[in-house]
Amino acid sequence: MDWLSALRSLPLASRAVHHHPLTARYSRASQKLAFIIDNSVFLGQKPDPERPHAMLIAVWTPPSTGRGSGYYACFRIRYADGAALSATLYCFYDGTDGSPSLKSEETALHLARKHGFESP
Amino acid sequence: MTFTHKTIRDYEYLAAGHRWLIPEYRLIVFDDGEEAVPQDEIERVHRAIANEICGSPDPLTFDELEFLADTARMNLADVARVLEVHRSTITKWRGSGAVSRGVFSAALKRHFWFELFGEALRGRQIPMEVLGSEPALLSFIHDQAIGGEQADKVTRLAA
Repeated sequence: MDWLSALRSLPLASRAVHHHPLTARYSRASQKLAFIIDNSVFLGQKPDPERPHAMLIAVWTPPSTGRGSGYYACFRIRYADGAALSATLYCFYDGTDGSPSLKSEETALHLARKHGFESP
Repeated sequence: MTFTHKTIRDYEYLAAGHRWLIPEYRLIVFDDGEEAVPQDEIERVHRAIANEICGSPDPLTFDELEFLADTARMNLADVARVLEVHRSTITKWRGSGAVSRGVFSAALKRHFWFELFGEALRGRQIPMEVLGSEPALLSFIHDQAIGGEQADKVTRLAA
């Protein structure tokens, strides 16, 4: 399955951000959610070790200004019968709050591979 | 997959460099216990905050400008085009953390408000007395968005 296309085709009510006690970084994740979903490139996928019907994907989005840190994000996509049902952003790095600053797709891909995300 | 909804009352939310009090904040709870805020709820909350920022008489900060641009799904290059300024001006504002006071700040608030809530004014007349005063106009259109149910009322908390 093309998981990024599946994520983009979900209705807004089924695309979400994991509810943390809100930090400035996850506030930015919520603020950038639509931009990330619309403009990201796919880095890799891996099965969710805790949920049999979920796939984890990593994506990277170039910064909207064309300079500085891009946005690295991971989504948990729940699915059934070959169709995505929901997607939850659960990891977000943008260079703030001590998170990695990933300025290119290449560096983002390197991090994704290190975290176990692979090509389909 | 099943999920239920959960509502948190008087939720303290961070956005645009400020803390906000959201009267009702709606989460979805998946059957495995994970809680998440759906994008439609994020957009409802962000529109409410955008209306408060646009209606405020305070000059725009850079965090507020970036927030308004993201809420309206514009990038900062689009903002430079709207204002007919070079992109380096936006870079300068980013560095200082503030948008130039005066005409740019007010013009941006009006621009973003009409992008997000212009529908609220359909068929309505703007009273002459508010047209001559930028703060009065911004306050008027802010109230129109709430009265027209285009935005909910949220409260900015003291720093």
